[in-house]
Amino acid sequence: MNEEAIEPMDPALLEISGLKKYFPIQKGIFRRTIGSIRAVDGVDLVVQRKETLGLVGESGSGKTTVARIAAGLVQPTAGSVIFRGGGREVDMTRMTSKERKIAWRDLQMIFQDPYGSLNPRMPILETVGEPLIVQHGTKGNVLREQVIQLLERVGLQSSHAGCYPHELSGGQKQRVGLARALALNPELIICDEAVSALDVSVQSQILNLLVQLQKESGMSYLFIAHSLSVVGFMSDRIAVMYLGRVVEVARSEDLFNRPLHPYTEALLFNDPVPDPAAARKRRVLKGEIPSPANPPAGCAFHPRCPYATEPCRTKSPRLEEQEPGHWASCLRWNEISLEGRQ
Amino acid sequence: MTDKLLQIRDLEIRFKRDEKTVYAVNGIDFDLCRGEVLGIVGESGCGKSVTGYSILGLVSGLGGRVTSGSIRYYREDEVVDLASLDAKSDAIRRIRGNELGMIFQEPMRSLSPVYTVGEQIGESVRLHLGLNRKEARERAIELLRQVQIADPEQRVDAYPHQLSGGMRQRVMIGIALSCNPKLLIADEPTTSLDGTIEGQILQLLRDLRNELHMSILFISHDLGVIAEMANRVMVMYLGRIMETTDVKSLFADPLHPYTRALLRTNPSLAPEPKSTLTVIPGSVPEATEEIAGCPFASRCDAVMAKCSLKRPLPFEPKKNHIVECWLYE
Repeated sequence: MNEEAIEPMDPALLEISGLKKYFPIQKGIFRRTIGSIRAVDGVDLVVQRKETLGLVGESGSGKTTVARIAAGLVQPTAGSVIFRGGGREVDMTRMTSKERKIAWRDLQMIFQDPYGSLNPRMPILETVGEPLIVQHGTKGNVLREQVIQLLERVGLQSSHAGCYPHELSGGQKQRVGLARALALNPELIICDEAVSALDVSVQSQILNLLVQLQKESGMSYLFIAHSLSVVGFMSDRIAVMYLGRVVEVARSEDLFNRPLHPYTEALLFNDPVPDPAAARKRRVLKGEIPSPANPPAGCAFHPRCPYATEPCRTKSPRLEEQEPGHWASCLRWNEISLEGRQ
Repeated sequence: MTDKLLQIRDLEIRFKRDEKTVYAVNGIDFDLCRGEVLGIVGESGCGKSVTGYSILGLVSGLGGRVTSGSIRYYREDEVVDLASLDAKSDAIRRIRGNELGMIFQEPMRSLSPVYTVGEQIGESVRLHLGLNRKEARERAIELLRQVQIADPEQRVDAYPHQLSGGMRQRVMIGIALSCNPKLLIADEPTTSLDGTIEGQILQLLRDLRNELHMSILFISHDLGVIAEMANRVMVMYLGRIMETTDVKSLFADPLHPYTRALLRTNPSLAPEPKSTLTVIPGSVPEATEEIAGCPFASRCDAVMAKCSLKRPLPFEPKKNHIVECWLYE
């Protein structure tokens, strides 16, 4: 296996630039707009080929909205999402439904809730085969054979083809979701909290499967989760979001060992580790997560930041490359020394 | 174990679902001491929550039945078998919500949307402590302050939907603490909260325990949270206790193959990213059959012929480290 670094000139598979999504807040019977929720407020990210980019953040950070825009499911307020799959280059935010259908051959999504994302009245054969029917018009025995191959690839058996979702366990349903996503051999799979609802013993099976499938087919993942341990295991690089913005992006080991943003440090401290000695070290962050409808001025993290000083209240930091490949948006990154996992 | 608060023996809980019997809890024994935080950890369907509910006499409300065993609760001057009390009897009502408090995973579902938080905390203290309306309100404000809610005088008149998830969980804790319980049963209290908020609630629970000297039965699926909160841990699987020991020994020297496997599957302990995690094959089976042997036998990597035939006895290979596994015979 030749696993050398991706050439810098190689254009990225997915390129998110200047992405914004404001949801209007409406009031009264005339639905007058009285403000907006800045779910995503200026996000730039790239996913390289064969790479897993992890996206972490707490609720309200905008990570799921970024994923949904990237998949072409939600229209952004501003910005673009360039996807270079299937030998084409398209902007996922400006396309007709016909173009979107073509893009979805190469870009698929799997969701958190394996219960809600499968049609309860459709047997597994149809659920997994649907992309093949819609995109290629596959039918009959050919369809059946292809579906069985897909089921076997994700560790299910051919007998599952005739089952309905309620007959399967949570882990099996997530495997079905994955088989469906794999049906068209996509180049990018967006995984939105794909293992969060699963029991730990089953979660590790699905994580292994995702890693193994990537090694086999060389696809990329945009992997979204709130658990830092899970994202750290899956990702080559990790982006941390807070209140609609990316506050730090780095290679996984750099982010874990040498975080440059105080929020990342706080997430590391608050990620429960099964080790009583490490657990007692937890440092608690003050305050609530502010509402994205009314984000604090200056650095959005300053009211909760243990390192904040006067300029942090007024001056908004930009996401800048502080060290090679390590981006952080903190005014004081150079003055403070943060603690990582080691 | 001189200062025992709870002694559970041979507890069995059954549910009826679609004409089938669900064997939720299958003959478990454990003790809980005063001031102790006992963690119960396990995957879904292991019986950890039901065990908590049974102590409060809430199993019948969920459609289940305690079919055998005793839950002896040591009050100041008497011992009560909670399992023998009717769920709606006055005897259990005097104890539940008064000496025994409970907090749940989903604070929004356990709070009423039509009453202010002050009224909901007040209801409990008026009922159990006999305070009047004004005293109850003052007690509510005091409790909100104790669970570290800012501006308690204003928040006391807020409705649950006006509060964040973390604050709602604080209110739930406030209600549970309102009558100074001897035991707090915390069922996945931080599972629905964000990481940084989870940290705050765990810190609060630790502070309150030290302040009020209560015991906590802390139920969670998350080994990381258990490692942080518990003094002693029970690992449950399919309604049985697999292993019980102090928190340090459990994580440093797990003995049961199930505990070992659970720890190895945890991605935070993986040697490097994208390596192959150890997996436990299959998934947790449904508990619709009575299992003669060890419930983990079908997924165990150290299984022996005997395992599926005969239920392992609780062995004690090391002092205070109990493990139900034939490997330690």
